[in-house]
Amino acid sequence: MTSITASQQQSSPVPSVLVALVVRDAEPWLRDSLAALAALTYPRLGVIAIDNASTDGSHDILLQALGERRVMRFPEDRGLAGSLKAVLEISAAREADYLLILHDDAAMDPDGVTRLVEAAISIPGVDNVGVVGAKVVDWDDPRQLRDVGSSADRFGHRYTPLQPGEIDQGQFDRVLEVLGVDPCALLVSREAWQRVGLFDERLDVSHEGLDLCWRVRMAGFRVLMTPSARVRHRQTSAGERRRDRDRRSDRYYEDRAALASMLKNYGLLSLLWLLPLTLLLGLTRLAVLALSRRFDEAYDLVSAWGWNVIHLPGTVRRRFRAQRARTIPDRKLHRFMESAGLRLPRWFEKAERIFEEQRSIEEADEGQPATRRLRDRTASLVGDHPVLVGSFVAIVVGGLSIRGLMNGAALHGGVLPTFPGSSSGFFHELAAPYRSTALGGSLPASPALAGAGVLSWALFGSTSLAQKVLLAGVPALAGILFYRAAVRLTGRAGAAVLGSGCYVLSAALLWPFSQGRLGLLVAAALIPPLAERTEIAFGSDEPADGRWRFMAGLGVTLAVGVAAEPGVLLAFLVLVVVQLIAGGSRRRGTALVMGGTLAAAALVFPFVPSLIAGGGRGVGSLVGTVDLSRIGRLALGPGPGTWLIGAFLPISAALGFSLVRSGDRARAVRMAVVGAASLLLAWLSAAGWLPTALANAPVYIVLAAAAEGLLVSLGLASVLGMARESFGARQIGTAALAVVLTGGLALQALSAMAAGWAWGGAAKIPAAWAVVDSGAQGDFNVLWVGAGSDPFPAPGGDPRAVAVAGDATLRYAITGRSGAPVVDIGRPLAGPGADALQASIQQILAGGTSHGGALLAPFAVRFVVAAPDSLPASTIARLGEQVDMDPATANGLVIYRNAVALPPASALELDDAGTRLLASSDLASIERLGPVDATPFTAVPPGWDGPQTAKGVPFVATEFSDGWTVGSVPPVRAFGWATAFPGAPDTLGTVEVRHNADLVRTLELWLLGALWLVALWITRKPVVR
Amino acid sequence: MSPNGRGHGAVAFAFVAFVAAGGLAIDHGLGIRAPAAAPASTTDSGAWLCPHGGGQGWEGRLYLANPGSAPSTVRVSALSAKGSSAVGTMTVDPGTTTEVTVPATAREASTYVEYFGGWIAAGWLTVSSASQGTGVAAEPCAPSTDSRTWYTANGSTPKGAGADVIIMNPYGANAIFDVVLFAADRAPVRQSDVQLKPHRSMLVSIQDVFPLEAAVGSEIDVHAGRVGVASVDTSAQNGVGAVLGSTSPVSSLTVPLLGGSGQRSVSVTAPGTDGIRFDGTDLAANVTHPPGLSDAPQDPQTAQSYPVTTAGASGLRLVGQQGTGGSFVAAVSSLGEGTDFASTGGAPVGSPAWIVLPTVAGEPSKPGLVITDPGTEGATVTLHVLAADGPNDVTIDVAAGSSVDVPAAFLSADETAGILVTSTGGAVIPAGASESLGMHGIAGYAIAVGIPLPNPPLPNPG
Repeated sequence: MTSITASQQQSSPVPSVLVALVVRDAEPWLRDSLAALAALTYPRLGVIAIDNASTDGSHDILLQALGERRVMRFPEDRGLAGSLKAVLEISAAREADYLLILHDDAAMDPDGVTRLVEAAISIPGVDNVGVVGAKVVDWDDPRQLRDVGSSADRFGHRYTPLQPGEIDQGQFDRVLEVLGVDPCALLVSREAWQRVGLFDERLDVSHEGLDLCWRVRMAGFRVLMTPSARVRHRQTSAGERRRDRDRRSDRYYEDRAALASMLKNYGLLSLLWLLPLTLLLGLTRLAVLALSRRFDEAYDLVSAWGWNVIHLPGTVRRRFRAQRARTIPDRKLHRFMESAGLRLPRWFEKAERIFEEQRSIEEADEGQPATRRLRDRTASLVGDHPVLVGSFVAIVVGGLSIRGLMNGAALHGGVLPTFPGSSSGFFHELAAPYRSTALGGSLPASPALAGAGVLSWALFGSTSLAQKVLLAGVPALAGILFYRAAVRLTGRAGAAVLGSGCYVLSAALLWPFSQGRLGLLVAAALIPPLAERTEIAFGSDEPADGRWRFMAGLGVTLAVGVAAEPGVLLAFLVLVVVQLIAGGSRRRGTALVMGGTLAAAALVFPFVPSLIAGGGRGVGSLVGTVDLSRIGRLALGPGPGTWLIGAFLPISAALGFSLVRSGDRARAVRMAVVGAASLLLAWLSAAGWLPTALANAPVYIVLAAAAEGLLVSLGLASVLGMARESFGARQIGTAALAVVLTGGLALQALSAMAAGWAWGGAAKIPAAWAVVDSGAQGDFNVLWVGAGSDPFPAPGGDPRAVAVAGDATLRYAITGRSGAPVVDIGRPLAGPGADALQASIQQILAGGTSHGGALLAPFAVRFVVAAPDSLPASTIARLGEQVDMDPATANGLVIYRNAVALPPASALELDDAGTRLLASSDLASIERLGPVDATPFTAVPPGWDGPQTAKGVPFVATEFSDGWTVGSVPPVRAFGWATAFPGAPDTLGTVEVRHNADLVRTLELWLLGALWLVALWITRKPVVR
Repeated sequence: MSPNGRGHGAVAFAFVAFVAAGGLAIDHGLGIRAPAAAPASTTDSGAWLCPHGGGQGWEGRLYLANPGSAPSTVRVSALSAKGSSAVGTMTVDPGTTTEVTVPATAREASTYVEYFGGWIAAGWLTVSSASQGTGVAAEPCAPSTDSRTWYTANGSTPKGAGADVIIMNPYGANAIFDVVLFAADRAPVRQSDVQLKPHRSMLVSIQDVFPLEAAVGSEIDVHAGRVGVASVDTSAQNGVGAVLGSTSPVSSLTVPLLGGSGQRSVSVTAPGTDGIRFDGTDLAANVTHPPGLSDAPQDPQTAQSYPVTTAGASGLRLVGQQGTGGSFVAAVSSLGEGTDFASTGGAPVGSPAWIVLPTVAGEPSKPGLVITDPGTEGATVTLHVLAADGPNDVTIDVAAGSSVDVPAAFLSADETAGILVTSTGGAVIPAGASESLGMHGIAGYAIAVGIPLPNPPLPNPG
């Protein structure tokens, strides 16, 4: 080894190199590193070692090997950057042509330094080299490559071209111009470090090298990796030491460093578009992490951002220096960087590996007939990677199916609920002490609104975008969750993938998708996990993740489902009853299920009054069919995929059931019973034999589809390995199952891809709706009526209640002018207002009154709308008798216009008789209500504002509550259920109808939020560090 | 496959078969649950449309009769081409009749009656008082209906006479309709897409289209909204006749007749695309095809007048001959003893209970009420005056296929009260037919068929 002095350096043509060896607690491997250092053959080499507060025998080893002159020691850990800063203060370092930074766990080949310097100065046409890195291989297995230079994506994340464990076969044996090199053995020229400095001491050792090289690049120097210089590297010490210090994940340090590097190293113009994009991607990632309950990782991400905020002044200082040294623009660095997208699809990496495997199969197939090779290859691809293949097919089919969502137009049609104009609309409804939708009341909104609000907020506040994302995403989620449930129950990924495909492409899911039934789709996503969890609860083994965690998980699943579609409770009930009858461990299962149910109840506790209101009306559904052939193929209504081919699932389920092996038979029997019972319950619901709270045909049909899908998975899981059996009925059954599945799935997929869904653009609303929508000014309500179990024409949504009147019996719903609102999801039409509305409708249908318009006026019903041919003759006759309800000419809808409707909120100019009517709840009196001069108010959450010109009695067609006030004037009950303020003075300024804040509701929401945090924390996914 | 596996397969298919068979059995055995009956109605309301017309110097009256047991609140509105105005709100006590004066100075004048709390009968009576003479017309009002077609049959436009179709729209939406006029030997004239705004009435002048016709019928085809229709004729001597429009052609019609000079004319309109041939019967004389009412065929989409002479309490029955296809609309005009004439459209079928509203315009008067039994079973009819201090009820036997007039003494007790006519046995058709005003009480002549009671409410004559 040569000692470097200033006089020697100046007199020699060979560049001088000072090795800076930074050591900390490296006793186990330091002797090997020093031995390699001693073996270096470079002629003008100096060495300085820095003992960075080692607590083991490292210092003694250094003294023995290098002597006191070449060893510096710090009493405290300064890190790599701090240690090097001290080195640069000595004259030898400042005068050396190159500085070689060497980690204590790196060992260079003897000619390593020579090769590095050669690359720096001797390559023809390559000048101004600032940094040269070596080819880094594994310390123990030098065949494995560890680094051959790296780049970064646009967001500062390091990217290496190496695959994990990639073997060195000379594939990178050429000098590469790169963005960064491994700092374990990094040669940096004096000009370079003098212009840009060395490492940013705030960054983790794994990321400071890239940051340094990036700045060197910006300053106009080249960064090279020469494979001629090889270094073995343990690459464990830093991470191990760091993990001793704290519990942060590698991803935290990577995110922290990436953002800091961006802030320092990019020009302003680049930052202008990259920072918002970073924020967006970060928020998306944050949402995904939160939704998948990976809270530790989400916290790390937020912490990384927080770190950058706290350290922004230091970052800005370093940015000044980096930008002062800049000689080339960002765009010239792009060729050394990877596109942003390359980080995302790791999927393709896997696909590449699969194709590699296929190539090897192909080679093995040489000499085989071509058809056999193709078949085997396909079978191999599908059999070995069912999830990947399934995902690919799902993306293709799904992408084509939802192409109608890929435009800027708002969605209409089906029973797609109307979303509020802004994300705050969700939160207002959730927090409001009153119900803002038709007839008002105090029934709390579903906690699901919080999720929808957060989603729309994350999507730039666009509720229409949130609507599309939900519509497109929830079916995909249903497929994924079905797969997860099935793979846990069967242990076979392929069987689970096919079962998932059957489920998603069943008529039971395509119909709600076509109709835009978001709540039912959420239920469809959660019913398979519920089925799986009930199987586990009543299974022979304890839940793998412990009872508390299991119950919390079950509670979260059930709570999410109930919040979106209360009918999920019925599906859960069926699953539990079947387990109680035919399950295994009933005592433990009952305890776990009860615990989960209680947890779910706690997680939706403010919503419970809405669930039980009206005798559980919100849990049930009035939609359904008694057509056995439709029930059999799981199709409750018309739409793509509800044709006869939809019967493929029940047929496949029957075949699968017959093929199940003995080990899964008990489970299969339970699923078969669940499926059969669900079909029966669906029919009984539609036929009117079940109580309102238990009648929910759509949920039962989805439950039947889930059970049948699981039967398919169980059957398929049982036939794997069947080739070893002799030919028989089982093989015939398998072949039949294959034929039915293949044909059914293919045709259902084609149907979905070519589908014209019930939702779409504005054309999906009947043209006759214009009579209602554009034919009337101001706010009003619409009463939708129909005799059958079908949904109303868009945008009426589903029937919400029944007015029983013999042959004239009607199902009905009341909405605002924009149709059924999503903020009413899971909330029944119940309460005093709903009861009064039902009584009024029944009076009309009973035939006593000819002034139905007056009876409907207090409900602000300006239009009564029905689908053509949906009303029996007796009902049409009754409606035709109403002298104050005028039939409107509208092809495509039956519309009656209420000539005496009151606005939803207004000042009413009433005479004495009118004032008496206002105070009356007697329908025989209310029907005398004639046209009233009314000054409409404007809805201004949390209430209504009336103009200064308003005269008369303020009236709001919302259920009476003491909380409503006009100034200090208390409300009185109007028409027996609504709210009026007869004591309010006339024209004393703007009328403001407001509801007092409700402390109880506020406290409920805070408590609910806390409960969700606890539940999600209990069920969080462990972080991979 | 192992025996165990085969067994499972068989069980599986048996299970599927059981589910399928069970579903079919339940579907057929249980069926859809029938909905419960409607709860009892606690409301009772309705409306009457009275397109009575009017003119300069005319007087209009409404008669509101409450045969029920509860008071009924009535809201009356007057309609004209300019809009509507409230006439007033009043209470009609049970078992009484209320007279309300309504505006009738505009030719298209109409009145809209809404009642609450109990069924009432409503009819109008107009008096045209001019220097040349006096005319009286009376008709029952029309119940509110969403019918898409209306017909009238009695228009006649001799020289100096006038004939109008009065169309009223008391509802909240525009009414849009076509008006088609029919006459003998003339092609129909159609006026398309006539628009009538809410709460207004209008008239279609027949004589402007078909002058000098003995009979002009009309058809109103409603495209949007709802209307009420009547025809009002005035003679050269200021006589007045009015007939409420009907909402559908009929295949048989009975017209009770009483009083007057005995000279009648039957106006028949065949609005359909098929011609008609009908049998006319004079119930008093029990003669089919009396003079003037031949069974000669009438062309489709024409209106024809047939002169008939009857006397005393009588009735005309018109029955379309089977196989001739078309149905018809008809009305009878009857010349009074003075210069006035009366018109009525009769009724297609009988009923066991009716309200007959006043047809007397003032004193002196010759009140009359005729009861016709168009069926084959005799009827025993009880008459009850709907007035607080009315006379005792009387009972009259009516032979099948005949007409009987009610004793004048009974009618004279309260000429402004409605009369509840209830029949046991055969269904009947009553009509008020009175002469009044003038020197001898014969200046005005009006016939108005009764109003059948709906079922329910049940009458409570108490």
